Amino acid sequence: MLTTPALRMTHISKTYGTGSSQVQALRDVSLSIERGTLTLILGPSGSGKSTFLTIAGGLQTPDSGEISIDGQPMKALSKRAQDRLRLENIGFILQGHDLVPYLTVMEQFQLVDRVKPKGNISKNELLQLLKDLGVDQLANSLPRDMSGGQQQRVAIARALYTKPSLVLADEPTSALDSHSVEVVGELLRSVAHSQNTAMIVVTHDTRLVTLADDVYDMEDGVLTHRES
Amino acid sequence: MLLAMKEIKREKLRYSLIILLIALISYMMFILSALALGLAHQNMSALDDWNANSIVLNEQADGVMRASVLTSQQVENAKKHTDGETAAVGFVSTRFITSAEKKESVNFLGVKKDSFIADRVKLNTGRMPQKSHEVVLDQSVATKAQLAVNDQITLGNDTALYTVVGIAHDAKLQIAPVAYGLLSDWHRISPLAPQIEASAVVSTKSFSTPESSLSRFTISQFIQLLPGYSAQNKTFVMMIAVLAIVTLVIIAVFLYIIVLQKLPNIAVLKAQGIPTRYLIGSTVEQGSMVVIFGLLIGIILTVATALPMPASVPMEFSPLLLSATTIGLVAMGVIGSLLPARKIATVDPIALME
Repeated sequence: MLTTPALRMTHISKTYGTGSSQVQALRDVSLSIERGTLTLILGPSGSGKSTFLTIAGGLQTPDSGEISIDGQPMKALSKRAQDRLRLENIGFILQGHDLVPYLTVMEQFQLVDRVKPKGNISKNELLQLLKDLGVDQLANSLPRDMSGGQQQRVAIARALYTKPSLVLADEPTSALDSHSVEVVGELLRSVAHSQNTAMIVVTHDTRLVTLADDVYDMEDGVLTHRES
Repeated sequence: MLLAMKEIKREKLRYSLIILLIALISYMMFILSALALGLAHQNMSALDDWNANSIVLNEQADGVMRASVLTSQQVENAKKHTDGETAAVGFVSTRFITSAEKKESVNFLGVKKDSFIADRVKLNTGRMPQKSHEVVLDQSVATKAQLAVNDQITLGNDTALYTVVGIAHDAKLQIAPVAYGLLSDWHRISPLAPQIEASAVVSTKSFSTPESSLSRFTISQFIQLLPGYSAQNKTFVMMIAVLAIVTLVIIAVFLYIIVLQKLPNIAVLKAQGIPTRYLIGSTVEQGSMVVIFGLLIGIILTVATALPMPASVPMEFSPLLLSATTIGLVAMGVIGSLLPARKIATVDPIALME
């Protein structure tokens, strides 16, 4: 049976600047990511990873090509509908500022409940998720009282809270030690499989390669699939 | 509400300072509006008692009763041009001296004992003058000079003694307390040519056009022409308006700076799909809460100031005016939030993520 991919990008190109300062960030990128997989986009800084992430997340539009989330073409959606799609279907794990500084861990999730009261994971599931991430003891802590690694784990929980079909993670293990990388990598894969979520991790951290279902390399805006 | 409340709660110092600032501004606005109202009241409380509609003065007086003199002929002419009850009033600013040699300034108003004005003056005690050399004093000046009914005073240039026969509840005109007496006594205190009968003619109804040497005014127009009244009110209104604008600027600048500091978080929240209107709503709520908390403290400070204030300070609180000031300040808080709200609306999450 054919299933709708969580993310489909077809011939995506994106160029910044003009003339001599012109940079082609993405060159004819096409890929299709199914639910229930952990996909790695590996590449050095400036290779176009962040542009890939923002276009995949509907935060900016490509110069050419088509993108659809859960079968919904982004082009056809109004800005408000795109916001709604990001809230309900996409989880973001960014490199910093993911958490609201004056909200405790539990309040970060209450904030989501205010704008999306239904369809989120249950309280028990959330507590289990926080436990799996090793931050269940921090439920009433503020971000300023947590280490960078702890904040990043809470950010991962925040991204998964809405049960998104697609999670886009930008260097989610950058602030973690080797042991934590393994734990978080396992968790991302486990969540991808158990919650049937398409997990895309944009990183230059090769320690995650062994855990990924699919690996892509990005170099100068060109995306190539790494054969296993 | 969650974002707004939690931020105020967890950033206590920052928000306490701005709330304190708003509290002081609202306190100043309440005190100024109370003073404005109190002074306005002292300009015209005697007129309120009369419940008159219109007044006729000499055309040369430019609407100022103390500068107006009317001949008997002019008084009769004015009375013919209204259907209402009329009263001739003699006005002079003077002073009295008590038996204890205390001297106090008053505005003496001479009226006939059977005029509608004499019927309408509200008395705390005693009665209105029935015969020559009897006066009714405003309660504030009576208290200040320690006078009671049956005490005697001298008034103006008249060497004869006047007996206090009543104390008026609240009778002030042009800030000064009023002393009511008979129109005939006005002639004694303020010697004028024999043909001069009064300063003004007041009616319970409007005047039609009297002779050209007379000017007619509604009581509202007359109050506006009271010396210093308009300028004083405009000054207060301007000060209160400036304070409202200062509040607007403070809220706008404060919230704008806060929003600038939070931009990375706002960008992430927008990227995560938190609706812009929710984020803007939180900022507007924050602006309103800061003003409301400040107002509550301002009200407490105002009450704490007003309670021990001596009666001589002309402060008057009107629930309507206080409500209007409160609503106006909250509106300033909301409007002040709109500038930072615009910044939130235009934040591009990409700028943070690239």
